[in-house]
This record gives sequence, structure tokens and C-alpha cells, in this order.
Amino acid sequence: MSDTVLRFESVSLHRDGQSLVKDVDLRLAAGQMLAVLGPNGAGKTSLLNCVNNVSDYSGKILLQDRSVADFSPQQRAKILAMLPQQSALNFPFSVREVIMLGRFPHKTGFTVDTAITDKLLTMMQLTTLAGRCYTSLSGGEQQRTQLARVLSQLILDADMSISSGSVLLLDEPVSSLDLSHQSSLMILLKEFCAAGLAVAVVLHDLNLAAAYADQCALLKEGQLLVAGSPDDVITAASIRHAYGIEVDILAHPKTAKPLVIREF
Amino acid sequence: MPTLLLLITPLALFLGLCVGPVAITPIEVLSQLPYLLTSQSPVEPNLIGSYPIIRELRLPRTFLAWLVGSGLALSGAAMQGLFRNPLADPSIIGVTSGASLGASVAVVIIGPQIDVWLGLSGLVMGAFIGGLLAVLIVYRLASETPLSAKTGSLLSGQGNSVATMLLVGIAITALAGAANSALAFVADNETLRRISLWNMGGLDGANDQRLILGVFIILPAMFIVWRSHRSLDALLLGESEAHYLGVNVSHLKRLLIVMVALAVATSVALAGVIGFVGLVVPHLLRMVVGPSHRQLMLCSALAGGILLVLADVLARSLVSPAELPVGVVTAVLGAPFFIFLLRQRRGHGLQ
Repeated sequence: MSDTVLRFESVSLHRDGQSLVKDVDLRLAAGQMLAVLGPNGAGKTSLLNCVNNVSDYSGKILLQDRSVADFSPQQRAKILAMLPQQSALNFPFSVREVIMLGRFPHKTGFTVDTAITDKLLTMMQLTTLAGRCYTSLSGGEQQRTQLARVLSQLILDADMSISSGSVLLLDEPVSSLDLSHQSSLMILLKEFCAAGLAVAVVLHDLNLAAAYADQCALLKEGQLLVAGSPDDVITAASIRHAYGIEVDILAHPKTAKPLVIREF
Repeated sequence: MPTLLLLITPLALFLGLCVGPVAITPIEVLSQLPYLLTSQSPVEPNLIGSYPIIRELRLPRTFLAWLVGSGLALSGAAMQGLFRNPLADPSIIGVTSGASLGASVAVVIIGPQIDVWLGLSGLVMGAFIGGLLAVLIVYRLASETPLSAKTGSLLSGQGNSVATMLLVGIAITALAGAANSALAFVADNETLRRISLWNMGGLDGANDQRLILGVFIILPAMFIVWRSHRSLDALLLGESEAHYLGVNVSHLKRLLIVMVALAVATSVALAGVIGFVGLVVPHLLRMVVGPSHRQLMLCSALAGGILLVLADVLARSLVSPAELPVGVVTAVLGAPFFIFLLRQRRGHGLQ
């Protein structure tokens, strides 16, 4: 098993008398993709928010074996990026400008930033929209723009290299994407993983998680029910436990990964 | 766009020196320039008469107008960014109403003409202190409201604390307005007229002391605000997003609010309440140069300065030898123009 870059040690989060996250232990290794699964209100977003040190959680979260609070905001931002579920941006930036905002923690200069942005525009199939006003885009196009922005935050230079041990947290990044863009995003993320990026991604589509994730973590009511490989986590029993529904699990005819079939 | 505005700026300032109740030709003003720059009285007989008018009246007035207009517009751009709302203006943090109340208190209690400090009247001091006090109260109340606790605002992802500050700002503005009305109720007619004229803005009190005070407070504050342009851009994405990008959000908020409070309190103290400039100049420029704050704040500062110099020229010349309050001019000319532009490019700046 490769190096752990992000480690949760008995992390709990309480707010207004409710416990949103209960005693979660979890590890994310460099180059791996972790799918965070669970029903609505299971604490997936709360767990990711703890990482950025915005919540008064108890327990420990270690980024590259250091407490997140020990990093300066800029140091941290170069190796840890997060895409929230919703975007509050309602100012008429162009798509290109939004992606350039991701370069905030870097001092690489306009030429390099532009080169990185151009490459990300191509990767996210946004080139034709580069000059369009962000607020005029469809939900899916906005989501792809924001994804390109958080990716650009972690890129170090025009060769698109990333710092080893970088972590990307994505909160439901495919919620507005069509099937084709869902797959191409996951494939792109896997390419970044191959270059050493660790990705934790909140997903609702269990089949997408099974197809692409290296690890899965299933949460319910703030507790971690089970974590491990997709084969271990995506089982009829754990899904019944977490979601309260009956499913059949088949093996995908091509990849042999678990395939969830709902009973209607 | 910045180049164009930079070219217009000296023209507007020059016009400010030329226009007034006493007719002085542009040629005469031009030949005064070397003396103005060296602060020596001219020796040519035809210039001796007009020199004091330009040096003592029009020069401080024109430059103060530029400074105030530019400070208000840049502050407006920064507040619209901080509150992520293109309808915000500098008065949103309570500074204007606080200054207004401070000025009324000073006028009613000390009287308008007494020099308190450095040749500045009680009104100027009262306005300055009142403006800063109001912001302090708004800021403290907003940051002690549970909703706006740092964790709460970031977790919700929408930034409650600026929303709380906006609401507290509205409440304090209303309270100060009520106190102001109460003071107007007890004031005698002369004082009342003074207060209400001051509330319409006017640069007629401009002198060297006021200009120097403005230069030493407004310009540095503007520069510090402008330097935060990248953080302000990031903040438009949302408070949490800015935090993830490495912006120290609470530090940025504090810095911007302190600097805007200083700039606006000084502006209001020196030139009264001048509405419209801080709201509309950045709003219009956003349609032209886009929302990125580096260009937007630079252009706003330049355009705000030009606008107020020209508005003051009109205020002095329209009903000469009397003067209109400059706030009336900015509103009467600006509001229809603004509506016209909004109809031309419907929704572009708002959504």
C-alpha cells in the first residue's frame, strides 16, 4: 500500500447538539481515488469540510502527516483543493477567468497560468466556451468550469505536474453532468491519480464509484459503516444497511466490477 | 479603458480650475500652472488677481472632489466584491449614516463653526468619528452574532457573516437615521438647514487642510484596498471557496472594512453625503471591464474622480453665483443615465 497522504483519526463533528460525524477513521493514499458514499445527510460533506479546517471537529486530520492547521493558507491551498457542492458565483466572469482564479495560491505569472488554463479548457472540453460568461452557462457547464478551477489550483507548472501528496476533495462533482461527461471526468481524474494525486469524491452513483474508485467508504448517520475496495463495500448487505433498499449485485460483464441493480 | 480614463483625468481637473463664478480663461489658468506647482505668487499683473481664486478656492476644491469621488467609487467596488452583491455601496457598513449622525451631534452640541483641531470644524470631526464608530458597532455586532461564527459561515458555504453584517448595517443605519431625525427635531432652523444641506453633499468647504487630510487618509486606504484585488476576485467565488484557495478570509474582511471605513468616513466628513457615485460607478464599469477587481477598482477610482470633479463643476456653474449641492447633481444626472444603461444591457451586471 502506498503512502497515506490524508488520514482521519477518530474524527467527530458536533453542531447544535447534533453529531454530524461520529468517530471516523479513514486513510487516503497517494494516487488513489476514494469514493465517499452514503444516503443524504450521512455526513459526507461534513467530513470533507473538516479537512479544510473550517469546522471545530474533534480528533485528528493529518495532511502529509501534519495537522492541516500547521500549513499556511497558501501552502495548504497548493496541495489541498476542494470543490463544494454548489457555487455562489453570480458575477459575470468568463469561463477562462473562473479557471484562472484557481491560480490564486501560485505565483507562476500570467503566461504559465494561461498555458495551464488552456490545457484544462481542452481536458474539460470547455475550449469553445472559454469566452462565455459563467453565469450564462448551463448547470453542467458551470460544474465543469469549477472542476477545471480546482484542478488548476493544484497544478504547479505548464507541464501540468502536481506536488506529490496533493489531495483533491470533490463534493458531488458529477451531479449535473451527463453520462458522457461523467465518464470523461472520472477518466481524467484517474489520469491525475496516476500522476500521484489523491482524490476523495462524494458520489451518489454506486456504479460510477464501483467502476472508477480504488477505495470506497460508506457512511450513514455520521458513522463509517464500512471502508475498503469496491468489492468489499458495494454489497447487497451494506447497501440495505445504509440506504434501507434491496438491491442485486451483479458482476459487470466487461470489468467484473460490482454492478448495482435496483429492485423496483 | 484605464488609459482613456487616465487621459480624461487631467482634462477634468483642468476644467475644474477654469470654471466658476469668476470668469478666468483657460489660457490664464494655463499660465498660472507653473506658479501653482511651485506655490509662488505670480508677478505678472494680469495673473495676480486670479491667482488666489485658483490657488485658495478652486485648486483644493477640484482635487478634493477628485479624491472623494475616487475614494467612494473604489470603496463601492470593494464592498460590492466583499458582499458579492453588485447593489452594495460603501454606506452598507453603516459608515455614512454614522457620519451623518456624528455631524448632526457636533453641529447641535458644539455648533458648526468652531475649530476643533487643525482648522477643522466640529462637523468634520463629528462626522469622521461618527462614521468610524458606526462601522465598529456594525462589525462587532455582526461578528458576535452566532450565525456569523467563522465555522458556521464557512460550513454553510454561503457566507452568512457578510449577510449578517449587511443586516446589522441596515439596522444601524435605521437607528442612526432615527437619532438624526430626533436631533433635527430639537435643532433650530439655521442648524437644521445646515444639517440637511450637508446631507446633500458639497465641496464648498474645501481648503488646504481638508485636502491634505484627504490625501493622507483616503489615498493610502485606497491603495491598500486595491492591493487586495486578487483576494477579492477569489472571494466572488464564495467565502468557503476563497478559504480553500488560500485566502485568509477573516483577515481580508477586517482589512477591507477598516480601510473602506477610513476612506468613506473621511470623504463624508470632508464633502458631506454624496450618494450614487459609490454604487453606480463600479456597477457601470463592471459592464465594461468585467468583474475582475484589478481593472475594476483602478477604473472605478479614475472614473469616480472624474465624475465628481465634473459634477462639482456643474454644481458651481448651473445656478451661478449660487451653488447646488453636489449630491443633487450626481443623482439627477447619474440616475437616468444608469437606468438607460441598465435597459441597454439588461441583466448583464446583475445576474
